[in-house]
Amino acid sequence: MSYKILIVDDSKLARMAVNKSLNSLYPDWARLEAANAEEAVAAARDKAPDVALLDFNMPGRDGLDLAVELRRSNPRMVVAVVSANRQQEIVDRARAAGATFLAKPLTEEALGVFLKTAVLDLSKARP
Amino acid sequence: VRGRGVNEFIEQFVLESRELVEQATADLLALEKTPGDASRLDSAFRAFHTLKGGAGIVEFAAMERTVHGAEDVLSEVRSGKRAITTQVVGNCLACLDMVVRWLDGIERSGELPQDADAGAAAVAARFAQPAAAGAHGLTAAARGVLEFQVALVNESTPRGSAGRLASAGVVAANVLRSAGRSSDADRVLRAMQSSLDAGAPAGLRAAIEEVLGGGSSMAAPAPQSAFEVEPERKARTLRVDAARVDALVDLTAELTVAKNSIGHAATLIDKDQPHLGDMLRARHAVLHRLVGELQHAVRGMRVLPLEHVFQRFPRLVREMAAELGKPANLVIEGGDTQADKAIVENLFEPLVHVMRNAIDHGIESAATRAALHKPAAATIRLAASRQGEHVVVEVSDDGQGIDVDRVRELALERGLVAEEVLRAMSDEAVIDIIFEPGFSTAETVTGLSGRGVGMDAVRAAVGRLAGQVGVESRAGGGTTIRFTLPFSMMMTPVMVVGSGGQAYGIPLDAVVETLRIGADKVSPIGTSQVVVVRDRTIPLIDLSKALDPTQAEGQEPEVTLVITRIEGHYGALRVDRVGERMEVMMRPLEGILAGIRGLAGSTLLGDGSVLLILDLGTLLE
Repeated sequence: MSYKILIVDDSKLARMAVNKSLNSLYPDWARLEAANAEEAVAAARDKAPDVALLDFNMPGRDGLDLAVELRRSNPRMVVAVVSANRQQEIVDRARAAGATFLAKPLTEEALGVFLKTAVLDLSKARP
Repeated sequence: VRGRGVNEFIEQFVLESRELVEQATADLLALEKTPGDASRLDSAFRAFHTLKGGAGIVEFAAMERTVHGAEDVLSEVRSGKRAITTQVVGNCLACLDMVVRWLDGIERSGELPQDADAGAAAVAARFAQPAAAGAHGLTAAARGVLEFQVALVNESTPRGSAGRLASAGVVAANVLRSAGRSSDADRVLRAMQSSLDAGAPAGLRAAIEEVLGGGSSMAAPAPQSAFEVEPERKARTLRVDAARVDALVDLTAELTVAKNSIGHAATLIDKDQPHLGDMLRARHAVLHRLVGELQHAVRGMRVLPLEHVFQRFPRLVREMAAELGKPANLVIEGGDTQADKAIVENLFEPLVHVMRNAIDHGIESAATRAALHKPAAATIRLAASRQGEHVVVEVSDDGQGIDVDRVRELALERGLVAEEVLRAMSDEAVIDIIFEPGFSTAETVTGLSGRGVGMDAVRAAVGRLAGQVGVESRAGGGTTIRFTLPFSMMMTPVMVVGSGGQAYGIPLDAVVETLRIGADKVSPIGTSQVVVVRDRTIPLIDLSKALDPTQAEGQEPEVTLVITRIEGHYGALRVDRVGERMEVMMRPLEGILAGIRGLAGSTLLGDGSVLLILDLGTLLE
């Protein structure tokens, strides 16, 4: 089963790095990219991604606020918030928003573990 | 991220990092003015954070560590644990400056720097310093200025070295005095005087180095100097937009087809085709156009935006202004203007000189500005624009302008211009004297009105880039120094002249006219010669004798002259014959020809022979 993933980060370099990992993990997945929260909301509304990777630290609305909004409009979307600030507060808020916390820089291994779980969740929800 | 596609990542990393440095610099400078601006603080923090993230992605550990240090400090400021002080801003800017140097290095080599640890340690040491002055009671910025003076003194150019010594000595003394170390300042001034008397820089250098802490600045981990002038380095690789390479490939293909069709036309000669001439001419026109486009495309591969060099000035100006006690704001315009890579990479040093002069001499003291109802903080504008085939870079201040009467006085005092000549000179011509090597001296820099510090060095540096320096002064309203540089370093229109059986190229923009006149119009003055052309007395150089003194004097009744004009000075060059004009790609001289006085470069002609291009500036001196 192939899914659609939304990558949100104001750094194109960071998006390129995620794409590179996806090339070896799930090369057949469709990818959407957004550089800020507004673009992400529009992409989520128009293209209905199954998974979203959100950078925490972005100008405008941050990744946690965005996670809350995306999950509200589509509760089945599997969301991760990626941040280099591994503060307990951020980890807790991510969990409260129903999102997974991932440490930055995001390794291919960590992304692989998260996406494997995501695939399991999605296949349960969409048999 | 290693392996395939690494280049793409490095390119994006450099691109993004430069933007982030710019953002962070603007935020930090704004924060210094309004420390309570939370949105600026957030933005600066985010920029450092993203810089760190990028360094992590490309696995540039030294930069990741360095930027992390600054991010931590800003994080403490955000949480209220620490105030945003001048020192915090200075340290964060120093960190960004280090990042810019690394980015420059990456762009030159295409690889992450191997020797980044020393720089990282230097920045880390700054952050580790206690909140007061650093080692030896001098701030890092003051040390930076002093180290820059040592570098200045070390520059081994014989011409105008007195001015440089004096300038370095006075600046060093001012820095020390403002740091409350008057006795050291006096000692430096005494050393400067004896260095000037001896005509040797060693004494002054030793005195400044002693203040810096005995050892030379090589002693690790010396903080990286704020004003350090990097040695000129040639890029080994170029980062080139893929679309530009594609355009080049397409053009080459077209060129090949055009060339083949000319080959075909040539075979028709045998068949005695009547339209052959027309056909060849038409094909030649096509070829001509394509070659032109090809050159244009190749030029496009060598351009960089000037922001690469402008980017370092917000911090430099901030620190120079602080050291000299003259508040100044820097306004940068046209950083996206593109210029030849060689120009962008060699513009830093002359711009530092000009900037320092603007702050040191151009801007009035705070008290004088207040009395004149000028804003307390001066405005310095660093602007670039493209004007036709030229790139113009300007540094303007809103200071007092150049005191023309004082320049006249000094020019006379120093014997740079004869009194009657000086009387006839326009104010504009007088102001141009500041670029003369002998103009900058101790009195000039210690006196108030001079502005000549190292301006001869500026003109020389810009001249090496085939550019010219001009100055515009508005009494009481400020000074503008303008560099007019070629957009491309590649094509130079030249006129070919023959002399002593050899052909030479003369840069066409220096040629006023060519003429033949009777040999009796040439009159000897001492060991040199002059010629009167259109009521103007012009010094004459016999080209064959200038390049080879063993050549015999010509005895013809008529002589062929090329009249030239460089920076307002006329000169006449005696040659055997005047040939065609052409555009050539000038290359620096190599091997046995390198360093020969009077030669600027060489170019390969269509027949495989080498055409030497004359350097009229040194030839007619």
